[in-house]
Amino acid sequence: MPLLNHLKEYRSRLGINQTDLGKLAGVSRQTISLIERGDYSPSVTLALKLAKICQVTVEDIFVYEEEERE
Amino acid sequence: MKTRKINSYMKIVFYMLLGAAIGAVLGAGSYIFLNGYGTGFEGIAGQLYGWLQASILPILVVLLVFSVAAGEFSCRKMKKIMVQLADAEDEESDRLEYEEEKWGALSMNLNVISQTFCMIVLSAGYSSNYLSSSEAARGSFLYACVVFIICMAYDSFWQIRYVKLIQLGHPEKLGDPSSINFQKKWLESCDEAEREVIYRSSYKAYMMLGRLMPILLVLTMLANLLFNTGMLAVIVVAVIWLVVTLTYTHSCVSLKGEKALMK
Repeated sequence: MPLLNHLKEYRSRLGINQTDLGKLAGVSRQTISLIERGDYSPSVTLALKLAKICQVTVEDIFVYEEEERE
Repeated sequence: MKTRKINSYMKIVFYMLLGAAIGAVLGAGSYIFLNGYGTGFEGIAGQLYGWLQASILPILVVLLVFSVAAGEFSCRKMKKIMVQLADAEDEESDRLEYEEEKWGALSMNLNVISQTFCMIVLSAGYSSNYLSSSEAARGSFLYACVVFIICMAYDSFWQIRYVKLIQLGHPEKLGDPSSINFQKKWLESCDEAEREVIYRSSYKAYMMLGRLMPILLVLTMLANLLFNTGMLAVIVVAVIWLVVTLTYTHSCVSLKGEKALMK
């Protein structure tokens, strides 16, 4: 998965748990957990919402890493 | 490009030939088997059917007991998970939600197994030949119908309880399980990740049906050829296949149309 993220760090900085972040973003706790573990790539809308909640840019939270080709 | 096209056609021809060879072996085998043991085979099948007709009531009682035991056990388990989930930390919640999903899926499968088995067992006595055979058969079938109704009612109520339990742990989930629009409301209340799981699972189920339907169609045709089971089974399977395919393609065209016409 080339999409890395720092959502857990930014959430910890806000001092809230996954349930609270989920409520703020309008998604379930499980979805936040999936994103943090890198098992789910959120839609642009959700990524923007999360960035707004964390008061950073989308690029601060999500990092796209180009896969190396031989 | 041309080679690939030819390869695809060759592959299909190969599969058809393989199917024909398997069919020929099975056909010849069945012919030899039925010629040699046909009467015996029909006798055993008849005996089994007779046994099933005579045992409708006890089998349905066992199914009812099994359904209630499994339903109550899973409901208790789910309730316990929901209570733990309310105060759980993030990591613990992941484990508990997985448990919830696993138990929910298992219970739902058992519920559907119970309903389908009840239908199959009751249908063994649902024939005018059997009902007119004796007074005892009619009496036993009447009791079987009562047990069947209780079992189906329990299974239906269990599904409502299951949905209400999930809604207790996840209040954001909407929909009244007794309403016709329940599935629509439920889907609307799911977030994007949950919807992805539903869509992927639905596509998997569609693919499974696409593989299963031709096999069932051939089996029902062979059953009609060898055991005179009638055309109805073939028609029912064909109609299900047709409806599933038409629903899928219609939905694809509508969704693409919506996107193409959007300004």
